[in-house]
Amino acid sequence: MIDTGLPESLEELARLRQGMYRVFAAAFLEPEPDRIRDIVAGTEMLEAMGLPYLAFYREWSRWRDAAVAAAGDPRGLRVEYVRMFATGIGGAISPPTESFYGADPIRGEVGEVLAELRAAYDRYRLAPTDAVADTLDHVSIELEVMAALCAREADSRSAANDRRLELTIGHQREFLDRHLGVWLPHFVARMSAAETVAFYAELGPAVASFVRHDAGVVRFLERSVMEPSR
Amino acid sequence: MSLVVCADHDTPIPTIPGTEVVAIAGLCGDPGSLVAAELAEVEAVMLHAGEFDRGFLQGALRKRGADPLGVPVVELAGPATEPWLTVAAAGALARHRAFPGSGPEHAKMRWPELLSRRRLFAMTVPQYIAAPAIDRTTCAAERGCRLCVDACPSGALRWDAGQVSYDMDLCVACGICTTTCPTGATTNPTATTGQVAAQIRAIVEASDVPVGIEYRCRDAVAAPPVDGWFPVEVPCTGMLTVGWLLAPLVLGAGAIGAPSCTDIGCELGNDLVLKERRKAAGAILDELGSTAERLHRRSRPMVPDPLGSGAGAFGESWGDAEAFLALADALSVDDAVVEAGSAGVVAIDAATCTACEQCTSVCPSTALRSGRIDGEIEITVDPLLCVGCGACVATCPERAHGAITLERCLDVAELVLGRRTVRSATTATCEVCRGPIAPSAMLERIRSMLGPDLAGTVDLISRRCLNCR
Repeated sequence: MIDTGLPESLEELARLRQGMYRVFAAAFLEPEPDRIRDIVAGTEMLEAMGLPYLAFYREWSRWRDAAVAAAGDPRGLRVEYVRMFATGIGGAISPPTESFYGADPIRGEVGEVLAELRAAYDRYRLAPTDAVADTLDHVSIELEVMAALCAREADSRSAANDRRLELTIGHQREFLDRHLGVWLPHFVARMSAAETVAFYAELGPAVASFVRHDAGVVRFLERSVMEPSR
Repeated sequence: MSLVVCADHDTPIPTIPGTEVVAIAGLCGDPGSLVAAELAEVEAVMLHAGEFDRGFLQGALRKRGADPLGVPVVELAGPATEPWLTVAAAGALARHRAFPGSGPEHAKMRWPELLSRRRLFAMTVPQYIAAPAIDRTTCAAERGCRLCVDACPSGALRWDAGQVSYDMDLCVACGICTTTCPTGATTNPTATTGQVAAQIRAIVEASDVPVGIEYRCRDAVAAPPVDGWFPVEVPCTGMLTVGWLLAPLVLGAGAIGAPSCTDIGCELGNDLVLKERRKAAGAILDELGSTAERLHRRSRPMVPDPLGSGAGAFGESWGDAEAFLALADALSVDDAVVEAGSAGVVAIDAATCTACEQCTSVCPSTALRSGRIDGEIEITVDPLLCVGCGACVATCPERAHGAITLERCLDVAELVLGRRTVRSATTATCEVCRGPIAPSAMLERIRSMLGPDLAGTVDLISRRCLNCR
């Protein structure tokens, strides 16, 4: 038997997915030197978990290489981060918030999006901590939400808590279908249209490819928990 | 650029000019050895059927930076001669070189069948197949086209308010939507006409003897090589239209094989469709004076000589009419009509047509088009593009009066004419602003409907446009 490094159980798969979401979430935060080092370490760990056997590997590996290269120049990355994502005069090139893509600010829909998200987080029993400095619709927050739901799935499987498992997978599906999976492609399209450093140029396709793939995984998981024979 | 061959079972090594051919012992059992091997770009792989795992192979190719969906795998199910391997390899390499590339939207994961709730990759690593994607800029859904939706056997496509939505989860990636699409908007990057044509042409060119092309379903168990016959993989044989069935003959093959789905125990139920299309393709060959014996379910030992060359007129769409015309050209037939295939001849009756242009606005393939020449409405038709869907007839408000008719047939004489005008109509102009009011024929139709009592109203609307009344 060839050792691929791939997860051997659905619990391990959930942990892998959690790690992927967390690394991507960190990549959309301010690129402090320590954070970039952590990201590179995280990519190395995930790489060993059989990623080449998953379809998003091509996009992932390009970004991983860019992340390794960026670790040598974190200052340049910080300047680019502000230009790309932080709101300044004229606004960011690629605002990393759901409300920018799914709401009309004149009609006051930004508040609606945030209220919907707050309600969703309440339903998922996830409360932002004081460490959260961004709005609830920031891409890194939404990626962290998915990471938390994956962690909960892994715990439910470990504890053989089928009721909680079903609920958690339903939440993952709902969150991807109504929030992250809907606006992320538009956000990434703006990132891709901009001329930027390799770290961000490759980050967009990598995260979009992974989230698209994960949406398929979640649908499958949802189907499998519905079928008692499985 | 290299071709990699598993050297087990004393497999002969093909010789391909300009391509590095690398033999690796034990490659089927350990595709990971591809990663370590010193090779140029891997373009195609020859492995032994039933001895390798596609998921492992795809992972190894990804590690090398290759797109696994673009690397054809020639499966060997029995002893093959060196000449056979050389021809098959030439085809696979040509197919790879015509690969347009795939994106994340094309990767559909196939889950291990015996997946349990608690275990996932216990059986095998995941493998991916190519799923179709829709180019919204060329899709004709907003014109009302829903041919792909109606043809989809798995309910993965839905038409809603002028847009087709696609559910990859339901999709079985059979490719039927891609060959049904009249605009080429729906494509599967691993089975484009460009790739399949390149493969067939390369096979024909590399072989010293006439060749038969056997379309093979992606999920079919590989059959032992038969001299003179070469497999060409498609996602599902149910996707083979009459045009696709005839295409190998146009491209220089002497015979075609198209096995039924039931031969591999497929539950998609596309068998009946394929049977009908084989019958239609056979009727076309008969009508053109060739022989339906060129078309089989399975490869046969003897392959007849190829027909003359009609490939010059053969384009990218592989429509039924296009293949029919190319074959007629190859066989020097200039007068043949056959009621077969998805095609039609549209006729417009100038006496009853009001030139409202509804037919041209719904035609998904743009076989019917309208334009303005010196203020006249001109409706043209190109029978080569017609897919016989009948949307034009269904939409025509004067169909009860026979304003438009569609004869579902293939007619060489009609096809060689190309695009031509089927209706010219004058437009009434406003006496005030000189802008167009409506086609004169439509105003006449209104006049006849309203009768003499409302002649004054008709006069007014015939003389002045809506803004100037």
